[in-house]
This record gives sequence, structure tokens and C-alpha cells, in this order.
Amino acid sequence: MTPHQIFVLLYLFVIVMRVPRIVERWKAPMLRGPEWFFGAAVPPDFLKGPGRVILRNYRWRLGIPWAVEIPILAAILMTGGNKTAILVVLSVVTLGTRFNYYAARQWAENRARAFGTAVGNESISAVTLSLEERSLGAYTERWVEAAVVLLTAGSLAWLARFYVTGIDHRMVRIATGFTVVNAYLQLGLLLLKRAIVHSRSAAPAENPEQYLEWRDGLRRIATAACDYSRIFVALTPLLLDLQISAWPANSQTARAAMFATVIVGMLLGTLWEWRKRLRYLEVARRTRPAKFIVMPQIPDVGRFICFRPSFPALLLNGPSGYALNLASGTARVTGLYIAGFAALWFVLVRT
Amino acid sequence: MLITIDTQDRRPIYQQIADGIRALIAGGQFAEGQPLPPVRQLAADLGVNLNTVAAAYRELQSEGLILVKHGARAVVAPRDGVRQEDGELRRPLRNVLAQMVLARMQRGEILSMVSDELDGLLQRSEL
Repeated sequence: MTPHQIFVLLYLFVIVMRVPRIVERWKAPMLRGPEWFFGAAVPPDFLKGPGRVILRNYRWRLGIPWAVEIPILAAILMTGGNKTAILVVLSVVTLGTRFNYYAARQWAENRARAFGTAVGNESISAVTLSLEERSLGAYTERWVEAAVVLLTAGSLAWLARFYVTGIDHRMVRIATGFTVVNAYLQLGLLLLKRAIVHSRSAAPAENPEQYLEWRDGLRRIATAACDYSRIFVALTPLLLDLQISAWPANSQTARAAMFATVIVGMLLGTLWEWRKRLRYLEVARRTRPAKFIVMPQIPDVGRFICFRPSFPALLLNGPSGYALNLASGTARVTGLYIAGFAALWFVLVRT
Repeated sequence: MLITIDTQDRRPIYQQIADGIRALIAGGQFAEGQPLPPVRQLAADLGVNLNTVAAAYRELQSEGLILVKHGARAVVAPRDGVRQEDGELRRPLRNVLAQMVLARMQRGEILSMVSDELDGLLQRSEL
């Protein structure tokens, strides 16, 4: 099997893996029954009236990333199938699909709210907080950490073997850089997981237990996705090392093994995440949604961004709406991480 | 363990936090030695200044309800350490009773309300 065919198959596989998420987003507006459209309380016959148009437009909007992705990938594949270009398009589209969904959902929910009922859409001034500490340890699975450590140690040992035995292969330098970048990505995913665990968790005063359970479910899915990505990121340098070791005699077999491992890994990861997602959807169905819970208004907070070190929240409510607090721990760590990534890239390219 | 904070309540937010935690300690949901959430977590959840939550913790500390050590998490103090003077306890009670009288509540209504609240508190502490 040629690399070109492998990438085409991999792409087709990625499409198949997307199906459950597409179905979920397709049905998401009606998740809580006919009296809700996402988080907006609506009359029961809403979908027979104005809701039909809103729902149709929402579903059309979900297709925007496909309209961008398919022609670009078709052009790339027809002109030789540049591997890096395919990976870049897949990554950007995966990220873009998520943002597009949030935007489409927000758009549809705002439209639906205009036709909504008074009950269920009232603004909330009272919030309920849990006094339990949210720590990273409570969202950590030992086998995930063990897998990440073993895979990383394995790729480092393999690299050490290359240098000790003096294998002359141009890919050894690439594999070293790849391992370093992947270790930095590991750190980023861990920081992201920590930020998810510590993200704001406030519930409406009415039925807070269920709302907090739903929020916790959402956090568990997001952290599970982080863990899945961490395992995958730890696995890829090892696969590259395997391919180098097999070169040149068994490179075809090594490539096929690598392809099979990626496919099986993706399949297992998706099933694992999907199992957690189904549990979360069950809770989400029962939970009465709440509008973004109002925070106390803070004077002197700018329009879009602000710098308030004494406020740990990422978003602050000011007189002209919500602003991103650049002094919050999350914002500062993100800034440092991006700067670190740029510095690392610079060093790797120079050496 | 949950507390409710209302931005439209007349009491300042730090007072609402302190009152909420005090009720949980009195009701026995917060056991002796149990750690309170970090100031940073509560402030981030509420979207308020760190000092607002710290002020609530300071008030509870001055009442002997919690122990705060520099660099460590605040914990619920042992119950036998909380000994308030009779006069200290009567003052807030008098304020609440005055508010009820001003709200034109009858003696029977006041007694019934106080009794209900006390029953609820004691019931929670027995659980």
C-alpha cells in the first residue's frame, strides 16, 4: 500500500469516526424534548412554526466545514496528496467544526429565545456553588498516566538506541525533534486538562445538584478527550521510531503496522470517549438548562479584554458586557505556553 | 455541600459566603477538620475579587469556626473551640427579631418561624 493510499484510507476513516458526533449535533436542539430548543424554553409546537426555519438554518450551518474541507482535500489528493497539507487541513477543519458548531448553536438559541416562553428564560441572580474542591487528581485515571509514561519512556529509549548504535538515517533527527515537540504537546494537554477541571462551576439556585452533575459530566468528557489525545500524542513518536528501525528492508510492513495501530487506536479512543458521552447525554436530557449565570458586575472592566490580577476568573462581567481577564491564571499560562512553543520551534529549526 | 449567593440580596457577597458556610458547619455537613475550598476556586466560580472570599474566611476565623494557616487550606475548627459569650450570641438574635417585629409579624408567627429553622438545623446536624 502506497503512502498516498494510506492517507486516503485514513481520511475516509476519520469521516466515519465523525458520524456519531454529526448525529448528536443534528439532534442536539431537541435533546430535552419539545419544550426546549437547546437551552431556550419554547412552546411545544415551536418546531411546527418558526422553529422549523431556525432548525433548518442551524443544520445548514453545521455543513459549512464540509463545504470548505471537501474541495480543498479533493484538490490536494488530485495533485499528489501532500501528507503535511492533508494533516493541516484535517486539524484546522476539526477545530473549525467545533467552533462552527458553537456559533451555529448560539445563533439558533438566540433566535429561538425570541419566540420562547417567559418561564424558563428568566434571568438568574442567585447562584449555587459547590464547596467541594475540584482537583486534577479527581479526574485522573491511573492507567492513562501509566500508558503515557510507558509510551514516552519507550520512544526515548528507542531514540537513545539510535544514537548509541549510530544508525545513519535522516529521520533520526526528525524523530528527535518530533519527540521533543510531542513532549511539549503533552504538557499543553495537561495544562488544558487542568484548566478544564478548574473552569467556572456555578449552578442556578433551583435544582442545583442536577445542574452540577451535568456540568461535572461535561468536565469528565472534556478531560477524557484530553487523556485520549495525550495517549495518541505519546504513541506517535514510537510509531515513527518503529518505521525508522524497519528501514529500509521492512519499511512497507512497518508502514502497514503503523497504519493499523493508528486505526485501532482511533477506534478504541472514539469508543471510549463515546461511552462517556452517552452517559453524559443521559444526564443532559434530564437537566433543566440555565442561561449563562450572571456574575456580579465589576466597574472599570473594559469592553473585550481587561487586566485584573485580583480576580481569578477568566471572564469578568463589566458595564459593557463580558471581558477576557488577561491577568487570570488560565490566560497567563496560555500566553506563556504559546511563547514557549514559538521559542521551541525556533530552537529546533535552527539546530 | 452547596451555598447560594444572590447578587440582588441586600447582604454583601462576603457576608453571604460566610453565612452559607456557617450554616453548613452548624448543620454538621462540614465536619471538624474538613478543608474548605481554596479562596481562588470560590472567587473564580463567583467572578469576584479574591479579597471578597478572603474576607468571608477571615470573619469565620474570627468567630473560631475555621482555622486558617498561611500556605495551607482553611479547615473547619473543632467544635469545642467555639465558645461565644452570651451577649455576643444575643446581639444578632436581637437584630433578627427586631426585623421580624418591624415586618409586623405576630409573636406566634415569629416563634413558629424560629422553631422551624431550629428544627431544620438540628435535623441536618443529626443526619
